[in-house]
Amino acid sequence: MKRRNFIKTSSSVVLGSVMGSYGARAYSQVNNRMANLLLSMEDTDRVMVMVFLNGGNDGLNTIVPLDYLSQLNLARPNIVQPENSLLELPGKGLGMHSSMTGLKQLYDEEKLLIVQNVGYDNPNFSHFRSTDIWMSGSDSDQVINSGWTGRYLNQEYPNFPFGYPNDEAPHPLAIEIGSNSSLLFQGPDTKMGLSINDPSFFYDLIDNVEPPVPDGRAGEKIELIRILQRQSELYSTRVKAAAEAVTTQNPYPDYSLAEQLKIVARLIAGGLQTRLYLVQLGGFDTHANQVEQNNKTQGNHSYLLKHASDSIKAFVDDLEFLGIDNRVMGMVFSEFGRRIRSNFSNGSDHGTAGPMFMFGPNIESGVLGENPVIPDQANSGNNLQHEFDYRQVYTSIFEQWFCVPSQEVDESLLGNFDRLPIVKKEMQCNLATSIDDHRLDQSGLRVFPSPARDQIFVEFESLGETASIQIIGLDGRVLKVAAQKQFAVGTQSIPLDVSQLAAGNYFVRYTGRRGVQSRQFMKL
Amino acid sequence: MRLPQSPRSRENTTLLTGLTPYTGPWGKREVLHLLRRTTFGTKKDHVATLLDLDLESALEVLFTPEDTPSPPVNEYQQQRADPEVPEGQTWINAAWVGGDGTVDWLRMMTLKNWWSQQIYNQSLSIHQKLIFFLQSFVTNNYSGSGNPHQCYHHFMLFFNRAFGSYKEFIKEVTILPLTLSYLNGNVNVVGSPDENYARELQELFTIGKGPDSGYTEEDVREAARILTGWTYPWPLNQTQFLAFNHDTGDKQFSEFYGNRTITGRAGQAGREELDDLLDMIFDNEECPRYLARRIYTFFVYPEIPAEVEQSIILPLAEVIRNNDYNLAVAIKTLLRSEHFFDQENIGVIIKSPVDFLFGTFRTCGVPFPSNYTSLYEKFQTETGPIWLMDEMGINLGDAPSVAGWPAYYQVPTFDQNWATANSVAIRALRTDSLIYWGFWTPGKLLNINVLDFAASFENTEDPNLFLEEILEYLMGYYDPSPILLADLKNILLSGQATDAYWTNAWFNYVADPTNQTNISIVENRLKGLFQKILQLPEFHLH
Repeated sequence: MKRRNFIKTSSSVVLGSVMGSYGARAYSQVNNRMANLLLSMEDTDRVMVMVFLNGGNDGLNTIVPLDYLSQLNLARPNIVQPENSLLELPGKGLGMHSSMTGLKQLYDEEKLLIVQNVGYDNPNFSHFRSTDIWMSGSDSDQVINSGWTGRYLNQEYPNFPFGYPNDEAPHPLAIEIGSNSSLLFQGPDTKMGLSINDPSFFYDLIDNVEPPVPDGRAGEKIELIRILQRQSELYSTRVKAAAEAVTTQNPYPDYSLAEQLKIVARLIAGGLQTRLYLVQLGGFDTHANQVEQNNKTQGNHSYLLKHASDSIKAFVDDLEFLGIDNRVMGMVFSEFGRRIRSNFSNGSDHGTAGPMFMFGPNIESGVLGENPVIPDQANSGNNLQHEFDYRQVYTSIFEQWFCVPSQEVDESLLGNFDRLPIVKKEMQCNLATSIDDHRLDQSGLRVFPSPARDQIFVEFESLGETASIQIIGLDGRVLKVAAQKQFAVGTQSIPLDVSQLAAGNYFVRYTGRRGVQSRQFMKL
Repeated sequence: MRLPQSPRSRENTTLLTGLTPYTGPWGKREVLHLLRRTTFGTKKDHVATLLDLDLESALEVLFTPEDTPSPPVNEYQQQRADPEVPEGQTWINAAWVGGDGTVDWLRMMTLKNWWSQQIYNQSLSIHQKLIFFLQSFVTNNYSGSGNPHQCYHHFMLFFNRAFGSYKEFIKEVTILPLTLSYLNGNVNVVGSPDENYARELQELFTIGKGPDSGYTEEDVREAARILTGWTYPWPLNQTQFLAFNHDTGDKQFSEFYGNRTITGRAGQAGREELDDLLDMIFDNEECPRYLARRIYTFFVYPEIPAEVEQSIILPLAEVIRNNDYNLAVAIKTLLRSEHFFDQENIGVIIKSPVDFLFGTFRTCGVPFPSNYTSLYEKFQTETGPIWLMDEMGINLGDAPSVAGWPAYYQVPTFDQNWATANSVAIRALRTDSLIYWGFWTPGKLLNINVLDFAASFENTEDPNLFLEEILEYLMGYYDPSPILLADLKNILLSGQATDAYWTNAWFNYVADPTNQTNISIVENRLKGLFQKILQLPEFHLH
């Protein structure tokens, strides 16, 4: 027997179920002033909503290259849609899956960009690994245990979670809906984002409903700890306040993705300054029964595409209704596409490149890239060749939408990738005026000698601050935390033993009030 | 997934069964419960050992004393030279340095580190828990004393007497220099009595303030007169009885003590009055009852319903009296009972900071390094957790007041005192750090190797069985909801619906455990999983 408590609202106690990364818990009591402030704040910040189609979306069944229909009919006769049911994109030689009327409408309204053939070199066919690659922004053979946005947030908000939230960053830095706990918002050390397990938990929070606890002594203690966890989770107050500021939204269809996006729209409109959101829809791992035997316009994949497409359309409409559509762009991605040849079981195996979708009024709408090329006699090993590296999309978004200086973009993405025209020209950042690095010039961060054999010295000008000094490998891994403490004002000189390091190039990374800075040194 | 079949009734089914021995099943549920209450956290090999035994044999093993630890040594020479003790040598026979207090403070820290490492390295024995139990109400303030030499002997008294007579223990505690200084015994002299110790002896150590406790203010004063004369020469750990400071008059006690008169004695015979006093106190029937309540609230549950007072406390008090105040025997009797294994008593106490921090270290296999490059590095590494526990509410040896930590006496909140918005945030930050970035100490990094930890379970490759095993091992109160299980499985499977994806990933890792890609695939999922589990309210319970 479980009991479910309905707790009366009291102004000082926050209840609900935003399951935070506790990394984001602060030490002090709820600061009501900030919670009130956020409601009146004029907010023009840009937001990106990432929609992850989990399981590997069959791109060839999503955006069909009409010039290769005969090849497709040979390779995947049991899953190809009849041509006359496809939603044609005029002049592009492409047809959208018949169930994607929502996205087709966005396309017609010039709010949708299709980026063709996105993937990476040496594609990996494991869900886990390929998901990690997409979330971490790494090469296929490179193991990086942090997310591409997580690393960026770590640069912008050093020392998180210590001292957060604060006046400059009062809101979650990123929000993930779902319990999947992806690498996306994982920083070098800690998770930079907050996760909301499940939409129903979100509404419990808003409605002050406590999830059930067992009867008896254990239940009382569990309830107590849960309440205290919420109280210490300052962000949940702010999330709740933002949600409460919005009372009317446009209608959404009854889909789980729609439910997640509805929350995101509500939070953005309610004044939450969070810039990055991740939502997800699973089930795209369609090895079998991707289509119905008797009607290839129907089946699991058709349902999933309709689910995704209708949800996104409703989201865009709601953003417009709420008057925040200009601030939001969306990105739809999946860990890989599927095999050209189908399975006998009316499904398809793991593949490689696939289309990404960008949506919103400020994206450069249309189709980017060539249509996929299907070989005449595709065998079970044939896969699509990628045209764009997925990190080209990421870097372009960072630079064009979030105005991140290109050097920082490259640092977050661990390399330089050619930019793509993702954001409308007139809406792209003017980077010449957005670089603000005056703080960096005065840090005096210095590492010597280089090359070094046993010891290096790290010098910097402390502002009287808590800072950390780390040694980082070229792959971005933290090899040694050399110091993490309060430094007095003035020149600091820290000797570091590097005798244990293998010969090679390394960085010393300073994280403190002057942000994140690195200096290279060589170990002999 | 199988769910435990145990009764979830709010009614405690064994309230009236007294100390009837437990005869039910002996499995993980029972072994984990017993270990969580008798050691700090649970160690995998200890669980396995006990599973192979039965309850009686398990208790035999658990009630085996540990070997006497070799004393703490100078590990701090690099920070401050000890004028009397070379590096690596023990300071316990050196009295006190004074000066700016740094050396004494460093010695004190090595004492606390040494104690905490005994907890960390404890064998399959209740010994450390007994010491902690005794320290929870026979309190002191090591740091406040500034005298590590005396503190060492204080700790060793607890170590040596944990399995012996509590009455003998209290006699020794009473005249131990550290106690004399903590509760003003050394300034309690004839003509100018100080009642501090005489009061706490009765209120906190022996009789308590239960409904049937009836000692009077006069009894406190008379006891104080008996205790006059006991002192020690600062800073030594030598007890002295100075007859010229002793009140030689007769001492008259109240009806509560049967109107007993203790005859005053002159000269060194004055010492014997302490024996008379303790005989009188320990003869009082309230004394074993108070101790039975102390035992119950620490080992079973902090609140004592009226039925438990009748069916458990009173018979347990008889056990205490019949065994010459050997508390270990009484504790063993209680742990053997049906009542102890009642579902209503499992996973219902909020862990103390020691249980939480060192328990987690032990439960999740956080290794303290064995390859320190210097004693000072060892010192620095071991000091870190002392302050982490301090931040959560316990500094070993330093009770916040003579009454101890509120969690062990404060009606009606008891163990809930450990949980505040502040402390749960800190606890979460600490477990997060163990998983993600490690406790950084000046010496070494302490963290959970999630790969090794995952591999220590039997069915790691099967996401359903694996989750069941982990949760049973880590949740003090084990009754996971389907929503929780789905959430956790979602993390392990990265949202995929096919269990085999995890199975393959795990087998790939096992087949080639040095391959970075294989490592990263399982590690990224395990970290998210363990982060969430260690933040569950049920992980805070034991």
